[in-house]
Amino acid sequence: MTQDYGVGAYAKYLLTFNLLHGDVDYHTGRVMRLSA
Amino acid sequence: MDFSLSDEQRMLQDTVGKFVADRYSLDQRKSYMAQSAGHDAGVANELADLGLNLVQIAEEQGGLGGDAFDAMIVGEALGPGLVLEPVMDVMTAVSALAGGREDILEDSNAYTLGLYERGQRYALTPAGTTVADGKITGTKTLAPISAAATHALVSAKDGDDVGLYRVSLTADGATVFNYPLQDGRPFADLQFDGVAAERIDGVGLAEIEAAVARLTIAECAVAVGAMQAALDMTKEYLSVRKQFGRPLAAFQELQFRLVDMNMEVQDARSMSIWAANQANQPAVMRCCVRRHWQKPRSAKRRPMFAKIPSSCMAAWG
Repeated sequence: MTQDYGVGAYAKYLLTFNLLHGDVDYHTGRVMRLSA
Repeated sequence: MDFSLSDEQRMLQDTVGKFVADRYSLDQRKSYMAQSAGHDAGVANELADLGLNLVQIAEEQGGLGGDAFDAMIVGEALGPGLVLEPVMDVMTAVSALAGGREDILEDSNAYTLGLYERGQRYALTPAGTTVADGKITGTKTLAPISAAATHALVSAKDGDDVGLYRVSLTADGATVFNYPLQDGRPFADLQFDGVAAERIDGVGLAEIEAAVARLTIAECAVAVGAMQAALDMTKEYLSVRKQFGRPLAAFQELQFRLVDMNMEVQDARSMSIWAANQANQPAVMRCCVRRHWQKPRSAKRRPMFAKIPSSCMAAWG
């Protein structure tokens, strides 16, 4: 649902940013994959 | 300190902001992502016409002579659009790594960057890419790519010497493996098997590290812009959506969350400014970005970039 409204796109971008440039919280990364 | 923008900086911010508002709504972005190249070539041309690749080029070479703050302004304005084209890579790193060569600067949108290798994490010293007799061999990963890319600037070792090489992506022995990242941006792995490579004079490991530092600062600014856009969108939703006869924003718990998120965004913006201030000291800048900005300051504190999206998503239900 969040993706339909658009805020999910920002969430995906910011978590990808974290993966590229630093550490991302394992649990958050996992939740993002499940909700993607 | 005076953080107000000059007239030129405000103009730059307005131009980029207007482009993002007109051409990069989230729905438009979705349609660009669905195309085979992972972005829209027409929009990429319009973006190139804005002249952003000139921002970081010295005035004597026909550029605008901007500094890290100017890159930050552009980045923050691009953030709300989550632009798919590698604008910041071209604007900061390609310009810095061109070694003053006009043929590269004039056509910088046709270049991608091959600086990372698998298993090396963030280290920029090439481990498996080597040059012998003017031919390059090795594989680079996470190259930000667009449909316009015909050449790559690739770091490689020639004996113990680290240098940067200009390599054609269409030459025999060059293979490009395209893939989108999780957020949809097109990236690629570049494989070279004895491809002719031309060394860029005056660019070594120190110059590559400095250019990547500039790029990181600019990308942090894009992320600040994206965080602000996500927060604004969430604020608007909470004031419109009603539950139990009241807008969601009337509930104290959600007000607390909005305040917390707002503070995190302001904190990230301050860190972005501080990092831009340290742009000429890559080691200090990296310390700012990696340790203070992203990693938790205590066991309970989560990185800002993980906290904002999950808090926003929680608010949307």
